[in-house]
Amino acid sequence: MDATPLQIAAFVILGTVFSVYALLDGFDLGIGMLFPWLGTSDKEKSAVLATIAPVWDGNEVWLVMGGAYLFAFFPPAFGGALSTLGAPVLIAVFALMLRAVAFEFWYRKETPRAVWEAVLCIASWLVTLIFGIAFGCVMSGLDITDRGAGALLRSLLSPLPLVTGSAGCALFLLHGLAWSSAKTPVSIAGRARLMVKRVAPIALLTSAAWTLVLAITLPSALSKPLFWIGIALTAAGIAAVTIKPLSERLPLPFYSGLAIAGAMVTALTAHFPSIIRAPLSAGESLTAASSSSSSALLGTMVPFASLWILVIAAFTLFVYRTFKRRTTGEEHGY
Amino acid sequence: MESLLLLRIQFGLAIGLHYLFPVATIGLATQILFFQAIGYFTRNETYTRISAWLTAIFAPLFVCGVATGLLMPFLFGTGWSRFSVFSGEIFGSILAIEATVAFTLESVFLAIMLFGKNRVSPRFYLFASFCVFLGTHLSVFFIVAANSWMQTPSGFAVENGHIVVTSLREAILNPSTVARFLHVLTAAWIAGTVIVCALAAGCLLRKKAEAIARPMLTAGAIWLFIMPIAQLILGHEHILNVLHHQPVKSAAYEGIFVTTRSAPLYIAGVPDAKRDTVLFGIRIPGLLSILQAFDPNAEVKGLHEYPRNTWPPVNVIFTTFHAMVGIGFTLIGAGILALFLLVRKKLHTTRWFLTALPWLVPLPFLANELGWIGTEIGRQPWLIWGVLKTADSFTPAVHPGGVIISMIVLVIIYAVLVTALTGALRTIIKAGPGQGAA
Repeated sequence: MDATPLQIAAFVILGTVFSVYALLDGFDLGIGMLFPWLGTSDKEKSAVLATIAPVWDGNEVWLVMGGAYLFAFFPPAFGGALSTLGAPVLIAVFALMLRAVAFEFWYRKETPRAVWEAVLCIASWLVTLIFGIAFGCVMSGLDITDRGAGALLRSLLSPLPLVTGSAGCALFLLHGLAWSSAKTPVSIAGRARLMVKRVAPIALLTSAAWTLVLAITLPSALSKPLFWIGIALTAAGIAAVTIKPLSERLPLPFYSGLAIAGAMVTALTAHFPSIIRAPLSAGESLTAASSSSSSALLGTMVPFASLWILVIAAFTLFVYRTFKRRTTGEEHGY
Repeated sequence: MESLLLLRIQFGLAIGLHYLFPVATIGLATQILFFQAIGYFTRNETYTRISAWLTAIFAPLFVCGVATGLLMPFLFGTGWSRFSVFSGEIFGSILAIEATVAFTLESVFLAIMLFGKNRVSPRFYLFASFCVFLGTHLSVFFIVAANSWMQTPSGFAVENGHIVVTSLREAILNPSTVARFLHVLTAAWIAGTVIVCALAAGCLLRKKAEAIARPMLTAGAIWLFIMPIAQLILGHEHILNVLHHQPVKSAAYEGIFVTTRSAPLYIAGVPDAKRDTVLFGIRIPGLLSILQAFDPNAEVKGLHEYPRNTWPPVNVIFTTFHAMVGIGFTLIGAGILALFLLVRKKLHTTRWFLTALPWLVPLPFLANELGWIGTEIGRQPWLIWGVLKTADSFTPAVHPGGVIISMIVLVIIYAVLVTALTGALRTIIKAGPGQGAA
C-alpha cells in the first residue's frame, strides 16, 4: 500500500514540526547541559540564561505541537509509541517540567541557585538523551504489541538508539555553545567559542557513527538522494561552526542549526514511510499509509497546519529579532 | 480493574493540579490587559503600575502552568492508548489546533510582555498583552471544545472500530462547547478578579502604595460585583444544556430519583442512591421545575428513567455541584457588599472587609475544581458520552507499579514547584506595585 499525497504531506508536516523542535529547543537544551560551566560568576550565568529566557517556552511549544499532530494524523502510532515508551517518555517529560521551572526560579533568590543549576543541567542531559534514544528506537524497531519491560529495554539499548542518543547530545551541545558564542557578552562568548572547537570533533565522530548504523539498519535509505543531502548538510554545518570566526556575517548558530536540520533530513528520509518501525520478529510496521487518519481529516488539517506553521515561523522570527542583541547579565526586569 | 482505577487517579491528579495554574493565568491575563489599556489610553501611570505588578505575579504562575501542562498530551498516549487510537482523529486534531493557534501566540508574545518592555513601543507592548490575552482565551476555547466533545460528541462516524471525522467544525462547535466555554471562562475571570481585590486590600491594610491600591480595589470591586452575577446566568445556561443533552447527569446533579411534577430544588443534602432519596435535604418545593421550565408544575425526569448502570456516582456529583453553587453565592454576596461599600465611599477604609478579601482567594479555585470534578465524574461510566466507556479506553498492559511511581514523582515535583512558587510570589507581592519600571 503506497502512501497518498495527503499522507505524505502529513508525514512531512510532522517531520518539519519535530525538526523545528530539535532546531530550537536544541540550543536551549545544549546550554542547559553545560550551564554550570559556561559562566563563572552569577552575573555571567545570568547573562547565559538571558539568551534563552525569552524563547525557551516558545521552543517547547513545537514539541507539544509535534505530539498533537502525531495524535491527530497517526493515532495508532501516537497510542502505540507512547504506551510502549511510557516510562522513558514520562521521565523525559518530568525532566522538562523541572527544567522549565529551573529557568524561572534560578533568577529569583528565594531558593538556593545551586539546586536549580543542578536541576537544569541534569534535566537537560536526560531530556536530550531520552528523546534521542526514543527516536532511534522508533526508527530501528519497536514492538508495540509486546509491553514487557525486558523487551523494551532490549530495543532501547540496541545500537541505533544508542548512537542516536549520543549524536543527539553532541549536536545539541554544539548548538548550545554556538548560541552562547553569538549571544552572550564577549568574555563568555570567547570561552564558548573554544568549547565549540573541542565539541565539534565529537559531534563529527558521533554523527558519522550514527549515519553508518542508520545506513546498516535501513539500507534502502542509500538510494534516496535526500539522505545524502542531509549528510552533506550535517558535515558542512559542523565544519563551518568550527572554522568560521565569531565576526562572521551569518551567526554561528546558523551553521550548528544546519547540522541538526541535516541530521533530521537524513533520519526522516531513511525512516519514511514508517511512523513506527516494527522489529523483524513482530509483523507489520505502522506506516504513513497504514496508520493515518481519514483523508477527510487530513484534507482539512494538512492545509491548516501548512498555513499556520508559516505564520508561526514569522512570529518566531520576529521574537528572535527583538532579542537579537548580546545579553549583559542585567536583564530580567519584569 | 486495578490499572483502570490507578490510571484514572493518575490523570485526575495530573490535570486537577495543573488546572489551578491556567485558572489563575487566564484571570490575570484579563486583568493585566484591562489595567494596561486604561493606563495607555488615559496616560495615567497608576494603572500601568498595577498592570506591571500583575505581570510580575503572572510570570511564575504561567511558567508553572506551561511546565505542568506539558505532561497532559503525553498522558493520553501513555495511559489511555485505546482512547487515543479510537478518537485521535478528532480529539488529537482539536489539541493540535490548540497548540498551533493558541500556545504559539501565547508564548511568542509572552516573550515581549515579560522581557521586551524596553525594546518595543508602548503601543506594541499593549498589542503584545492583547495577544497573550487572546492566546490564553483561544486555548481555553479549544481545550473546552475537546472536553465538550467527550460530553456531547458530534461531527463523527464510527468506522472499523474507530472514529472518523464527518465535520471537524461540528465536532469543535458541538452542542455543549459554547455554554461550557462561557461558564469556564467566567470562572477564571472571577479568580483573576478576586486576586486583584485581595492584592489591593493587602496593600491598604499594610498602608503600602495606597495611591495605587485604591483605584485597583475600586476597579476590582466593580468586577467582583458583575462577574459572579454574570456567572449565575451563564452557569444556569450551562446546566440547562446538561439537562438537554445529558439528562441522567442533570438528575444526579439535582438529586432527583423519581420523576415528579413540581420538583423541589435541594439547597443541600446527602443523596442515598440505595434508598433513592436525599437524606437531610433542605429543599424549596417546586423551584427546580420553575428553573428548568419556568413552570412550577413542570415534570422533572428522575434517575429512574434511565438504567442504573448508566448512572454516574450520584453522591459525588450532587455534593461537588452544590458546593460549587454555594461558593458562587458566597462570591455574589461579597460582590454586592463590595459595591455597597464602594457607593457609600467606605470600601477603602472598612478594615474587616479588607481583611476578609484575601481569604476569598481560594474560593474561585475550589469552585473551578468542584465544577470540573462534577462534570467529569458526571460523565461516567462514559469516556466519550454514549460512544466509548472509560473501562474500554485505558492502556491494557500498563504496569500498576509504574503508575504509582509516576504519581509519587508527580507529587514530589509539585511540592518542589509550589515551594519555589510560594517564595517567589511572596517576594513579588511584598514588594508591592510601586517597584520597578512602570
